Amino acid sequence: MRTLQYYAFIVYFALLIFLSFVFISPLPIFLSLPFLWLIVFSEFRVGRKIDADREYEEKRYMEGNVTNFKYEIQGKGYYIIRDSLNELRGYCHDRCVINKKTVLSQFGKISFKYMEIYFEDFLGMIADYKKKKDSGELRVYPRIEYMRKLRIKPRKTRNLLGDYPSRRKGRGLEFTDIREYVPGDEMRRVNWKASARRNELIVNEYESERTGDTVILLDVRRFYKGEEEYEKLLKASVRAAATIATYLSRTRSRVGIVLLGESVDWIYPTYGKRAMYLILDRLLYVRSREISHLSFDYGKFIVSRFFPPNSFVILISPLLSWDIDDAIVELLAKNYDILVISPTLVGEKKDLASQILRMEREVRLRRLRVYARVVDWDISYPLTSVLRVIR
Amino acid sequence: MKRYAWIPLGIYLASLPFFAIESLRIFLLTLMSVGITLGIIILYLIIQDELLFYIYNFAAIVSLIVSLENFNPYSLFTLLIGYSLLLLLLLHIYLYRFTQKFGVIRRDTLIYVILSIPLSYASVYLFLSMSVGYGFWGAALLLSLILVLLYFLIRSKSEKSSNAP
Repeated sequence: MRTLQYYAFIVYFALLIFLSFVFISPLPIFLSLPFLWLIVFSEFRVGRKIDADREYEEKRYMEGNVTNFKYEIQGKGYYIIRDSLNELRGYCHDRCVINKKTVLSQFGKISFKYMEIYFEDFLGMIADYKKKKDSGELRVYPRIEYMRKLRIKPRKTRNLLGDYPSRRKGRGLEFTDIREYVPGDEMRRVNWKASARRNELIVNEYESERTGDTVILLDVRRFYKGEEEYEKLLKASVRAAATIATYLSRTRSRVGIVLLGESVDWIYPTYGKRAMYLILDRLLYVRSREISHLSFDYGKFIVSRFFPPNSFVILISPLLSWDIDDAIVELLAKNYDILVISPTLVGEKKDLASQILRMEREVRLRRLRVYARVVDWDISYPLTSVLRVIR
Repeated sequence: MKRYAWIPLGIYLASLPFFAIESLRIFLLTLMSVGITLGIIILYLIIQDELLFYIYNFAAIVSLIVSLENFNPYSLFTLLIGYSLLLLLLLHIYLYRFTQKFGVIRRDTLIYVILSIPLSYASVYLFLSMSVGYGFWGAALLLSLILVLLYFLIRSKSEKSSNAP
């Protein structure tokens, strides 16, 4: 394949010969000779077509991590190598090894399907382009904030043993009260000091620690046309969901997720690391490319249909849709315990539309605060710092 | 590096009117052609189309021909000026194109670009100034040169096909 430069030089050569007739002067012909020589040089010294291979460590990465790609290029000439993540440009003389460090700035799954290789000889006259089949993928998980302890607990618990203090008394670690001994009580529960003081057997009572089901209801429907605003809110929401899911997977409670984006998707409540990886893997694909027409009722329906009542619903939503508050009231009526975490871009834009949207959101927040716990989260602050002060 | 690629072109375009200073007509024509070149450069910087890159470079070559119109084309001095200025333009073409496209430019590339100028000068000198360019021996030399070139063109093609994966 010839480059545009090659054809341009041929045309220069032809036009200069033509100009020598126009100007009735041999000077244009003389000036055309360097172009001819350059074409001849390129025919003498042909480069060797470039081929490339890439190596990298296939493991789980987190947003902001730096990964090292090792490209091995073979051939002789100038090259542009482009894959799903990187672009390399330069010159290779026979064999080159290029180590490229890439900052994985955005979460998601990167699939390496094709590698584009463009080659040009040393004078830019001969080119070659090929699309090589490529394989491999890179999973970049959203950045997770470390949360030592979440103060917000579900108000309702299940019968299984877990980490959340229950209203019921039973086996646990937290001391609550003492009472008179009744036959059947374990001897190790006898409070000997209190028994000596009262001259009758007294036993300790403990707070029972139970498990609870938690559903993360992530609302990433798109209401902004602006790419930047949506990306900011999306990133913050997904990070929050990932942080909470990771924290909850460390406790002995079940955690599930309902996603409202371009479509509705959900994962049933599960325990432990399995739940964490299921949720984190699903979060990699969360993105809404077009303005969403999906109603919040779908999310409400999925929660009430597939998740047990008494579940703790953590709703992460910018609260920009009008149908959200009625749906929350309905969920509360169905005995779900709700915490709303609302990421916001406070004071981002001063135009009238943004002001109206902000005011509407304020009204919605005020209304929600009456019957649910609400966290108004300015995304310029870390989520953990906001949750730390809330009980 | 990409920024430095404009320096040779700047020197080239700025020096063109100096060679046309003897005749007002040619001076004005040169100024006009340089103006046209600058216009196409601005257009190129806006549109960023590679075709415009070659168009403004050709306009710059035409400006050179216009500015040297009063000079004796057979004089080696004229050729020296012409080729020196053309070298600046070629340097601009290569420096700009390669640094923009590949981020680097090899010394080999620049050496071959520079080498094309003395070779062209020698070719003109050989065929026009010396008697070798005329008569039977001149024609025979030209023919043999064409044959040699054809041989290398064919040979390089076979080499290229051997590189196919």
